[in-house]
Amino acid sequence: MEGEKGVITNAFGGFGLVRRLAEMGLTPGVEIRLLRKCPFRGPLQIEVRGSVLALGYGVASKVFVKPLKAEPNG
Amino acid sequence: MAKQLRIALAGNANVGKSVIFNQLTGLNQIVGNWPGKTVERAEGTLHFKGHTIRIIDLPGIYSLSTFSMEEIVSRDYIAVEKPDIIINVVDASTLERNLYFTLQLLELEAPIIIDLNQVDFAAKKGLRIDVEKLSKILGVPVNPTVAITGSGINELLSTVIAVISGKRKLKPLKVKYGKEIEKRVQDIEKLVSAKLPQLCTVYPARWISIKLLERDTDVSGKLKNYESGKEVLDYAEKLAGELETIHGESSPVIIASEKYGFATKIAKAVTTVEAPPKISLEQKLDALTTHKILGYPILAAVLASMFALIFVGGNLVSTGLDYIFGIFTTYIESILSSLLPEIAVSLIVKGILSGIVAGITIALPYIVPFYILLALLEDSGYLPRAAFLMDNLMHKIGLHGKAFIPLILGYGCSVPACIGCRIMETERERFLAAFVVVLIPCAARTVVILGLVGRFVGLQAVLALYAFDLILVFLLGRIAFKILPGEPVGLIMEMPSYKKPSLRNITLKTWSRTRDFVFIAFPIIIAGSITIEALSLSGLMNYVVEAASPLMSGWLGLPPAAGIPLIFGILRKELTLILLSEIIKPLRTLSDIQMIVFALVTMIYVPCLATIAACLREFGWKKALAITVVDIALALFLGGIVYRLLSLVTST
Repeated sequence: MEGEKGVITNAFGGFGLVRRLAEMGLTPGVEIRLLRKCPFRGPLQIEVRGSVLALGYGVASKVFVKPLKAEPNG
Repeated sequence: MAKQLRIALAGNANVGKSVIFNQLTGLNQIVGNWPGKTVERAEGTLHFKGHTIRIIDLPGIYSLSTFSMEEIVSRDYIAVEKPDIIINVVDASTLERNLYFTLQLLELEAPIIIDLNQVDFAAKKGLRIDVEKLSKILGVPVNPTVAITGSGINELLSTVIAVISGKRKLKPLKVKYGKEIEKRVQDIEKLVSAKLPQLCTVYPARWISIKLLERDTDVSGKLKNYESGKEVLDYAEKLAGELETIHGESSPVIIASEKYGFATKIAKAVTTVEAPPKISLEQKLDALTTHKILGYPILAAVLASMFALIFVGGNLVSTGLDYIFGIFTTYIESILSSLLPEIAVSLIVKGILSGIVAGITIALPYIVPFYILLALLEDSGYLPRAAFLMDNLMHKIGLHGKAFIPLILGYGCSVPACIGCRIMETERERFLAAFVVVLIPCAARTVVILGLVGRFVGLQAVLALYAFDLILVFLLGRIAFKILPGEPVGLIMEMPSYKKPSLRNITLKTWSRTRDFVFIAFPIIIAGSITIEALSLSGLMNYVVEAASPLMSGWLGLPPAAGIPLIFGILRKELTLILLSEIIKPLRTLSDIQMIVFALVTMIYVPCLATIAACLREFGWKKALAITVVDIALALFLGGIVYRLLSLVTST
């Protein structure tokens, strides 16, 4: 949920996508925070490495995150 | 004469490179608060303490890997052209992400100095950066600047000179990886140095090795030109495979992880968090404008009020200027009549003078306010927010949110919008975006719509035209998306912070765009006016009119002479209205339906010559021709349909 923190475990998908995510700082083990999420499979914003990234729904659903507190999330 | 030095500005997207560039060169490189604005490199010259320095502003990129054209352009420029110094512009407020790029520059063994920009903004976020320590760790000079005010720029230049003259030595940090990667990089490096000595004169052997281990397609492509390239490639492939077995990740991810780890360590070591960041006004604004529900009405309101302002303001000014210049023209005409033969008066007054007057009264009143508002939108950082909100909708036409940025720019001018499509990641996406972008009514077409339909028919008809256009964009985008092969790409975009737009920047930007408009458009407008006047004086006009008559009056229901402005409109779209106003006097004699059809055809048919040229350069002649033909056919087809529908509706 919004404001929740998590750690990226891995990303799956095409070679290009996974690599692009890594170049943007979304590498396994990095801590991220969900800032906001749009409804209807909309994009979301996360804070990672001190800056804010917007990810489309399709991209975000390929990134697996282990929540740092309580409930799991996408 | 001192020798000419070359300095390149490099860094992530949206860190203020263009602002620095302008400060250094005094040129008006367009500055904006959205990532991906500098899509072509800009160049300028600077004189400093007896040195002539050539400055090159490279597009902002996140990495020196090969995802987009810009990245390859920048990388090759740095490696092949070997500028004397690279100023790596680093955003102090997002140091970690920026240092990742710095590390890549160091791996390219480029002579860099760091410009730590936006230190004021970092301080606002409660971050203090130890400049000395950062410089010591990286082994290169670090200069803090606040580019927007120009603070620190002189010191930056002095540092550049000190480094070039050898007074200040660079001892660049060597990026070392963990054991598993490092050993493999070194193994490949040995083979690369032995087998590919030629390639090593351009790119550093260690860098080639890292890239090979990362499976960089551009670098492996380069190897294929060499006889022993295959051997090296196979070897690198084997080692990359080993690495992946150990870590269970793909090799570029492993290497990026380590490099980021390195960047994080440096960033942590030099940054002190002074105050826990308070929730600032910018953050509140950010939360509101990207709110999952409220964000949309706000976006609609922003765009609507923008157009309302242009419509109301432009109309008012246009009517006023028209009145003043009307008196002025009659006055001049009466003076000239007593001095010159009638035919010369006719050419001067109706050709040159009315061209200029039409340009001033019809085009400028709408274009200037538009440019001001567009500059505000660009500078504030709202565009990426709009892109974020529009992501879902853009996916429906096979694009993602970022494409919304060139789309909005398209309301200004199709040329930068077309080039702006480079922010899209793949060739397919770029073409798809450009295809819809050229259908967006640019400022010139807005002039026609507002100046004709807005002034004589009413606001409702204008809104209907815009709505029609948006529906068309959506439908055509969707069709093109289904036809074009390939997979859509998802949105990954950095969101810049909101910034208070600077008055100076907005004025500069509006001025430089208006100046371009005046210098490029006015000569064409005047030439067009003279040609038309000459055509009608010589009687040639009748032949053209007759030839165009079946299409113009038969199919579109327009006066036959309206074909001429439409032909000239290929040069510049506002020319259609300006010439129409010279052929049909007064414009009011046209019926509402004729005005709407004329504006509609102008809005859709072939983008102007400059846009076709931009498309040609970006996508090649086949695709440029495809866009042109589709748009002409579509405009004529729809124009005829709309004419018939409207006639039907009004007659019943």
